[in-house]
Amino acid sequence: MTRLLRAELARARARPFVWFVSAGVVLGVLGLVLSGWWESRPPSAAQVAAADEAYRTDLAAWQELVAPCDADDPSVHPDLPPEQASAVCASRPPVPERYQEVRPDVAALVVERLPSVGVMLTLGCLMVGVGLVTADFASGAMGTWLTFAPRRGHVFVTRLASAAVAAVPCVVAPLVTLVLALLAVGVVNGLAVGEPVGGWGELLATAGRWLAVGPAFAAVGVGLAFALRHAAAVTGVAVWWVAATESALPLVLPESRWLPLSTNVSAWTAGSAYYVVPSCVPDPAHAGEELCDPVLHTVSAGQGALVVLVVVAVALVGGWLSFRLRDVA
Amino acid sequence: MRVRGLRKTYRTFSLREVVAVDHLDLTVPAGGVHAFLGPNGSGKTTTIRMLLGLARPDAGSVHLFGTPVPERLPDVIGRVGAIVENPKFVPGFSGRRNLRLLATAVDVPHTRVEEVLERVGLRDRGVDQFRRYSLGMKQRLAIAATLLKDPDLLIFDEPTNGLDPEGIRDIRATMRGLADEGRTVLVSSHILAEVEQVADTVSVVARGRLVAEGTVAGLLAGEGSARVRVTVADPARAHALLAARGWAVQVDGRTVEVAGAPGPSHVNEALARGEVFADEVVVLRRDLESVFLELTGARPSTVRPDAVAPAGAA
Repeated sequence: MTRLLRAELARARARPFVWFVSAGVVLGVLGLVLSGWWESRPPSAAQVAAADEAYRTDLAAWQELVAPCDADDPSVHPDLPPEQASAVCASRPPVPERYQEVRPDVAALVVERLPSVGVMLTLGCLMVGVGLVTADFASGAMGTWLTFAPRRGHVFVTRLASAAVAAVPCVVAPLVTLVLALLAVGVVNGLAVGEPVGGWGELLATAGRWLAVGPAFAAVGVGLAFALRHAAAVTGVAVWWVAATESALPLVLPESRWLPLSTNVSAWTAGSAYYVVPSCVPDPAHAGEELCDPVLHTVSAGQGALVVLVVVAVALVGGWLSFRLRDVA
Repeated sequence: MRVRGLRKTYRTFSLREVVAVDHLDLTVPAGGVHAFLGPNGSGKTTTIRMLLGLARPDAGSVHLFGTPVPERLPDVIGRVGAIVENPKFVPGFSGRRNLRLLATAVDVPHTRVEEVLERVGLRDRGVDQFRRYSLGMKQRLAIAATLLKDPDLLIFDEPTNGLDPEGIRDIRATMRGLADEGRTVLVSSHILAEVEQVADTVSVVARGRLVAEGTVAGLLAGEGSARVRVTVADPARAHALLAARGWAVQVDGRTVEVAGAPGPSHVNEALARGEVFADEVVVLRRDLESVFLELTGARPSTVRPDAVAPAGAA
């Protein structure tokens, strides 16, 4: 099986498709970086002038409001009740910094963009897994391959392993690009590096969990591809899943909101995820109506990982059974 | 190779059962070129796919080198090289890369890739993408792939499909050369000319069943199978004399064509006894195409059933 694995890894490495997908995800990340650069740009002279003007205006208004207070005479604000007049007199002057647009630090930019990057690299890894299998079914090369390696179990496992390995650059390249490019943005825009909530170590741990999610989705792709054999069919199943499980089901059945993969992946990578289920009781005051309170539920990282792994296992079992039992053209 | 009672059915989308291979018995002797002959849709490719473990038989047994397959196919796959239908490789990879991947899978050194590329005349085009190859080059690359393992048995499924005459000649020469090296070549085809010129033995299938097998010479020269054409002065009397012997007779002018006679001397003798003397006696040798068409039911048979070796006699 070692030589088969070597052949499969060589095949995956030589597939331009794998590199195109990684490049596509990196391009998407660069788009996010671009948006980060845009929103963290230093203010223009006009913006500074406008902020300064607003500050001066507010300062003047404040000074006008509190100037009579120096006389310690509440009657200077006869239109206000005494408590409010005192509050006005006790108010503090406007601060110039509050008139400048708040600029995020690099850490905030990274954390803000991680979920979007996650979606892109998840889809990318899924595509890698699907493409590495369906391409050979489409071209008929799988049949030729089986005349050299007739043990389908070995072919399945080694193809799965090569897809998982091929998914690694699809995860690492976008994450590294995100961090390095945003650090560069920080230098260009003069941003502070800052520190994410939980520290850089926690961010590194999150990246590590994405490194597990990527190959997991590549495995889902491999399983679906072996089961369905056509990229179009896999796409159809994926679209159905998104429409039914990720979108419609939580709306129709709020109790099922723990089920969508997006929730569970988010829980796994971020440590936890939350969803709200309305809890309703009959309204005693109005017959036929209900009083509802939102109840917050938590999906733990372990539960998220478990659900993802169950989906991976189901896809792989389906793929293996199909590959084992169906004829190959 | 020994196949017994092999059966394969498919279900259509309307759940109708289609029998692709129907209790097929097939024996391929070691050495030489064995043709696996049948019209399109007769079950040749399905049979080959079952031999290679690509399709699961519903019933029957297959033995390669005395080993049951597909149960123990991995034990003997190293001795088998095969092209099933059209050559199928990764289109975006070069011919050389495709072969190297296959070589890695079976632990063959990459130097062997260069050897087989050289042998099929593709060494200079090894860097080109497979998708850019002509059909003939694709076939040659497929043959190179089958040779990687230095196999004892080569299976070629319709290897000359779509090739020009030069390509067909090259493939034919390659098959003959491989057989002359002591290997066994099983070639399926519906192109009869290539089989007739290169094959030592033949199996003919129709509608998933074996209808005849034996040597090519045996099929062509089966006893009682000869047609004899005689030219006589009195064709009406000749017709009466020959038909009285129970042979099939057709008259066209002064020419009388006889089918089913044991041989030309019997025809001549029957005419002479009736005092009809032939100006010309011609033995019409059948070619494999006519045998094939008669056996597979593609044309009404005018040959007695015992004109060829019965199935299973080889």
